[in-house]
Amino acid sequence: MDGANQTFSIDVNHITRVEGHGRIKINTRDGVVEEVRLCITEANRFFENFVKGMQPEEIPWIVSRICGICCVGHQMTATKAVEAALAIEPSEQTVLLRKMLTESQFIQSHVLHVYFLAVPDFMGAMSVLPLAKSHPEVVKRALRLKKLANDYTAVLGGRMLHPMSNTLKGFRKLPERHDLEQTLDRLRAAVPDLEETVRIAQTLKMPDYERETEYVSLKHPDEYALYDGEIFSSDTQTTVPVDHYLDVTNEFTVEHSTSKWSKWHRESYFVGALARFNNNFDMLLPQAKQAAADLGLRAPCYNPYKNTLAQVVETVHCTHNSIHMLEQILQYDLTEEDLGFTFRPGRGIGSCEVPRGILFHDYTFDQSGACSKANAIIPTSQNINNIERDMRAFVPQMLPGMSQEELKLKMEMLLRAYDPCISCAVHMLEVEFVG
Amino acid sequence: MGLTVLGIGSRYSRDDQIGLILVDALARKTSRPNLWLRLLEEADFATIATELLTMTTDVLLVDCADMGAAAGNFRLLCAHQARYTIRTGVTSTHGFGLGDALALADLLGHVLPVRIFAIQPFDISLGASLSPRMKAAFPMLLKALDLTVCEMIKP
Repeated sequence: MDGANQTFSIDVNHITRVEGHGRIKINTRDGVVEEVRLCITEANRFFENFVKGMQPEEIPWIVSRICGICCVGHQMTATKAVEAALAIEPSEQTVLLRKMLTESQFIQSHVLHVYFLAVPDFMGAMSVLPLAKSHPEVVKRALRLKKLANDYTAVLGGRMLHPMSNTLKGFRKLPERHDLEQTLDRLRAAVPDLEETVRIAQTLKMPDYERETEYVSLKHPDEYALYDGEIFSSDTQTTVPVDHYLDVTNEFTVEHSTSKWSKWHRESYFVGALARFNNNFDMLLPQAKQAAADLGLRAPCYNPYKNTLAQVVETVHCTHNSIHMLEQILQYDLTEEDLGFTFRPGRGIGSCEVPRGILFHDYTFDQSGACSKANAIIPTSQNINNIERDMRAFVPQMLPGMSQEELKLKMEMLLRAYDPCISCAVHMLEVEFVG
Repeated sequence: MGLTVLGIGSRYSRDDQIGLILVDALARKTSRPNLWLRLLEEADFATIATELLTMTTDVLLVDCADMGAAAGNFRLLCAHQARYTIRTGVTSTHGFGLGDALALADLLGHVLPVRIFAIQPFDISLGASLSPRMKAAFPMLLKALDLTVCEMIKP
């Protein structure tokens, strides 16, 4: 039964840990949509308060804990912000190692999202577990790629999650040459798995829905901007310096969400893989452009469901770019660097792209050397406003031909497509005894 | 063969870090041939599943678990004794848990025995230290873990 002339209420009461708790509410009367809301009801996590009073070098390691998936991104963005406050200029060697660390995280995160959250929807599986039963080779490939990316992060950062090697001004421990060589070989050997990933993504039938919005990402004149760049808007086709991020995010509150919303030149904006793809297509490596062509993905793309395809393209880009960077770093004789610095009071702002979009960190240090003020604006909070607007636009378009169940699934898929970054769940094992 | 003891948890959710702290303490206390001790901090389910699939030893996972027991108590679980929560329809990679990791590894052919040294927490709110009552239970838990490991690596 389709939705025309129907009166119904869909209430997805727990969309599973969007900052812990979130829900989708849809109400229609006689086929007319009365309400579509994405409600975020989780309390703040107060990381900005935790770091008050801390020394500059402690902050990147602490804020890494904001997220178990984007830990590298938070650490890197904080490192850049603190370095900006202290006027520390990292060496070319350090920047290259950080870019590699950043891209290792992109591969980790995108593989996880594409294979474990998006693909099951399109293959008619309830989750990755039935998929592992029906298509074990698909899931094994995903785990191979994930393991490779995890190990790549560990080689550079000392461990696969919450790396400890990166610090202010450089790396406390440099990667071993042998490990870098081995990682290079493994990345080269992973190319067939990537090609197969593109082939699988080609088969995913995306809902036929488009809504043009403002796309915001970093932009860099020389590279596909992930580690560095200025803030670019697709609306103005211009950039603003990262220091002006508060003029971009313009955070505000709404009654039904404890997460703040953002808007820039219009009512909402989109950050993440699709925004980067739309804004920086020209800077993708040829292999990634080929993957996009194979997927039929063209910039600009206005279908948010295709954020998943943009993630596949970025996985190809990051893998090949990592191969280039590893080849480059193996030309170096990596040298231990002096990590000492002189403290000065001041404020610093840093920004990186993380898998789910642009991330901002902002720290102020007082005369005592301690952090006196902090601010972090994560991609998901910037996206929430845009996600709800997508939902509001999608429901009336699709309602006449779609059943309630189908609509509910498509709403969840839409939210999943944005790959929302959620406050890390406590790793609790829930057990029910049966014997 | 041998045994890998894997501590799992989050250092910033109070008693959720008990698995990490116990395995860390065991590593300082014990060194035995055929025994490997590792920590997986805040590891996502795919990472845990991947690590299980690459292991060539028996595995003992040490983790905080909500199993309806009295707080501070532990249980040694194996697959046939418990049904783990499997989550479907999650919208984020954060939504999966250890139960999903075990199920995934199992589906993909992990055949070596996995047991879980599970500890019921007092407090898993945000915080960097164990709850006072978990701290008090810690010596007993470490001794029990050490004994469990000794039993499991007996030839």
